[in-house]
Amino acid sequence: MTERRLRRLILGFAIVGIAVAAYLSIVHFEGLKPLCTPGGGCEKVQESRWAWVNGHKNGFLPVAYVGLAGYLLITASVFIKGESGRFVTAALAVPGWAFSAYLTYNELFNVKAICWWCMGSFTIITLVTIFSVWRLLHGEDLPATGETQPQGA
Amino acid sequence: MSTNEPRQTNAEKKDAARAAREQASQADVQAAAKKRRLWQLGGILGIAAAVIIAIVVATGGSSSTSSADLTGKPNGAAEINALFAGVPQNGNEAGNPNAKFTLVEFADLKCPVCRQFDVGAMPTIIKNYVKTGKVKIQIRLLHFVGNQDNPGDSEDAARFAEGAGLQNRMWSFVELFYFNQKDETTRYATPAYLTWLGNSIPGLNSAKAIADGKSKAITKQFASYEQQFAANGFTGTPSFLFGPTGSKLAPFQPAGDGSQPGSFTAAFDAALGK
Repeated sequence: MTERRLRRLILGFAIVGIAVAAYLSIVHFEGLKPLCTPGGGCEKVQESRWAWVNGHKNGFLPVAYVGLAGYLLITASVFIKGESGRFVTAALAVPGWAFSAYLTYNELFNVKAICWWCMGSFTIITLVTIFSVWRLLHGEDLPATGETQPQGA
Repeated sequence: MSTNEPRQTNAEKKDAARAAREQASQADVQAAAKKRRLWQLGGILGIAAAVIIAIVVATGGSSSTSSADLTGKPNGAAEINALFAGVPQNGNEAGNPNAKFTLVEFADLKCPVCRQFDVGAMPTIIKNYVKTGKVKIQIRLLHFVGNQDNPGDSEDAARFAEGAGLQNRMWSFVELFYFNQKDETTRYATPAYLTWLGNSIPGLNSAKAIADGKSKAITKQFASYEQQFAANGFTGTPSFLFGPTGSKLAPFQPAGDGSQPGSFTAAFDAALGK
């Protein structure tokens, strides 16, 4: 695994995260019903108080917007090179994962419904976090690109 | 040890010592970098913890009831037991079965406006009209409040109440629930909470109320109440029907906001010909 490949992986997952969060933001902004599997879990979750950052219906900030902003920032941070870049990406990803984990807990145990868009986003941020933390801890030791070093010099 | 090993020149010794120093220095640099990265990760985890604590505080945290809330007696337990002393209860009805008038309340146990009525006006109605045998009261429970946040919570409470009705203690439980009602957006009507309330009502077997409340007959009863609620053109709780017992009861709109006894008593007195 090279540093470049790790950055590309994080970038790829963050872009998928942007797509998911953007869709949920549009659904929220337009007041639409999200496309969902039978059972209406997505709608139930979207209409619950946990769809708002402060946990109150029609609160001050929908979590979908926070997710979108988070993925956009993570995407931008991937382009910062060196140790600072690795730190910023991880510093965005880890709290993002913790927030997403908290929301997933509430989705499963308080709302008692499953929104596959939210579960998808949780999976994406989990992968982004794993790769970001790995990159922070080991990125300096990884080769920058996939070029092999000459052997037996 | 061989004596044939070539001897190192001073220059070679110096080179070896320099290489060793450089290696040690590089190891120190790597160790320091590793330590720095771990500190960075620790800082990030600290930020994550702070973010979550802030959000949990802002959202009021998880909404389940803690066991600490279930110590002691529920609010109003003694008053409610005294209020219903000597009042016959039968299923969802309280009062003299042959009372001249019947008041029906459509309510949700988690509805805060219902609480205003059941805490503010109902005790006086029971004391002055039900206990005296003039009016009998019925409750028909719905369960929609808070369902988007805590599906099943209001229904669990309503099922317990219906289970208590099978032991002819539904009204005692309903009033006790309203006296202890909490934030409608939180989940608190857990079996432990309902049992805690039920245990304050003499003669009520809470475990049986929970078990009986799960019956299909009660599910059908809820569906019937919802149909009646819609058929009367009601859109919110509490809503009321009032009229002479045995006749078709008509929708009744209390005066004011329904939270004061006077919202009902003037109409009751007029009907009773006072």
